[in-house]
Amino acid sequence: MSVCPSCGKENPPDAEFCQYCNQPLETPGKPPRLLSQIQGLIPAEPVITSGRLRDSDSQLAAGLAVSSGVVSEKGGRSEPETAVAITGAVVDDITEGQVEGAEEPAFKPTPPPPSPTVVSAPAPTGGRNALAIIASIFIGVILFGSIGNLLAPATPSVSTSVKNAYTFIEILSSSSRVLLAWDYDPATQAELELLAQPILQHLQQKQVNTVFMSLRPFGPSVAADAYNLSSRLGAANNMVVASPNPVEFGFIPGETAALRSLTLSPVMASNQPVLSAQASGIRPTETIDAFDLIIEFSSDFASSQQWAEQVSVRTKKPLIVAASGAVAPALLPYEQTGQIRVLLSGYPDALAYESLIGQRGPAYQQASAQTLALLAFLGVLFFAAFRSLFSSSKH
Amino acid sequence: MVSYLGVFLTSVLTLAIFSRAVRPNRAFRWTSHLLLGLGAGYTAAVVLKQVVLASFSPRELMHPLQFSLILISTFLSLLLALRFSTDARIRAWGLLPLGMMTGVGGALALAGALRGSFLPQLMATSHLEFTERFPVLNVLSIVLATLTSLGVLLYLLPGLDELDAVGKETREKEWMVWFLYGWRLWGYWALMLALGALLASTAGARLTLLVGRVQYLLGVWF
Repeated sequence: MSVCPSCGKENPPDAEFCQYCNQPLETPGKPPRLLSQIQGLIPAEPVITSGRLRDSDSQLAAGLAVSSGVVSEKGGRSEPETAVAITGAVVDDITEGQVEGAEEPAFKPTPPPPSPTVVSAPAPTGGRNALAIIASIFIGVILFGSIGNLLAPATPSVSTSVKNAYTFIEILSSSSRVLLAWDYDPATQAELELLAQPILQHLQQKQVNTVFMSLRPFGPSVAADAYNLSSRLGAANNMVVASPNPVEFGFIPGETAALRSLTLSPVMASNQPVLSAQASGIRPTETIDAFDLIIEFSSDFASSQQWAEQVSVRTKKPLIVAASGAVAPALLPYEQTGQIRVLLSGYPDALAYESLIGQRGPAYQQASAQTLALLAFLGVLFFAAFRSLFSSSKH
Repeated sequence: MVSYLGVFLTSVLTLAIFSRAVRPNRAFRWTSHLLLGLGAGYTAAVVLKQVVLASFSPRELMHPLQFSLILISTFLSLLLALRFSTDARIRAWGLLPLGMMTGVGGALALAGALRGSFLPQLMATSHLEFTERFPVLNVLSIVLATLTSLGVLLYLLPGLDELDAVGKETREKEWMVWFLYGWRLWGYWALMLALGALLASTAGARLTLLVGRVQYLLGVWF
């Protein structure tokens, strides 16, 4: 536990700020995290009671004791017991199996080199600098990629999933009804809105009736954002946007129970059945089959799983899931079973769908930045792997 | 003017979150606290507006079926509020709606898991055809990967040290040792491939989010 110097309350050992008064817990004399972890491994009692210490090991251990702050706290001079405990344990750890002989019981630690200037531990900047450098690299390549968009492909490759999703929407008529479920939060909006945009644009082109709902409280908000952006993009691209206004069923709490109710009567599952029935033209006695297509935009596995488990087993109407790339692999089994008829995920599918509807939208604008960021990620990954290999081969 | 202020505030807050990459700082902490607080407040407001107050709108109350449903749900809500009572006998009445909620939810989830996940995926496994020539091999590889990774994950298999010890002790059981070695190896490879695929797709998704945010800031300021 670390004690806050400001309010004196105890905090978890790895806390960097006080949980009570928000003051920083790191003081200039506090040892860096790595050395704290090393100290944590050191037992209180000396482990080595016999054995001969080599000079190089003793100097290393003594230096470690100095730099870890234990020695400096004693005024620059090491207390014999402490030094024996620390150096003994460190040598046990470092020179495991290399301690020579077992004859001499006496263990004389080498005193630390006189270094009056060593007062406090060095600032723990190594890991943070690396993180800042990596973050700068990513932001730099994204900024560079955003200029000119030179790497944007003229004709992106279109997967079968995207083609299928396009076909499902293309065969709809103006009298069709589509249920759109917005199951993501503002935190993942930047990714999922890329997928939602071209689909919404396509639905608007077809002048389909849309009803939207959400299993999450933030759903109506992100849906409104997506509809607004879609209308703006449609107007900017001179597309026909005179599609019917979407009907809002809103946030429906209850997850599993809500979806089961939705399959029995979508109107009754909404929070305002009378209003929903009037606006959507769906009777309370109609089931989920009142919709011709169901599309879910999802950022987490659980909600898509609920849709597959509770809804698609009770209807023949196709379910398209446009999911975050992070959860798409986990949803593949449901696509294999046919419960999710089409699974769209991530930036590539958004770019492909944009190309199918003949629009250069937000995904196209990000093409160069995405490519460069991915290359930077691979570069960092390979650099780390090579560095790890190189350092392990040295040892 | 208000929209400019909003844009400015959003940009500053985004930069405050990004500043965590350089070092933990107070701006990051205050912003993350603000985000959490706003999230909780927004959720409460949405529930109040879209769930509670929406149900009590005059148009809904005039419909007899909806009115009876609201009556039942209000009664159950009041029963739930009895959980705050200090009297144990009164508090017990609050278990009724609680039990109903968890019971219905649990039953639906269990039925959904069986009917919507377990059975369809079991059936789908028997129809897997990744290669047209050897569909049986595909099914076998999936079954093998499932069993071996389960063996590793559930710690059913002995550790490598134990296997080494057994191998040295008895010559008769050597085939069993090799079998267990192979099991462990397959299990680890299956897990590594699965987790590697998940990591790769997660990294791609997070990069998309980063690009979106940075380009948003660019669009705002330039």
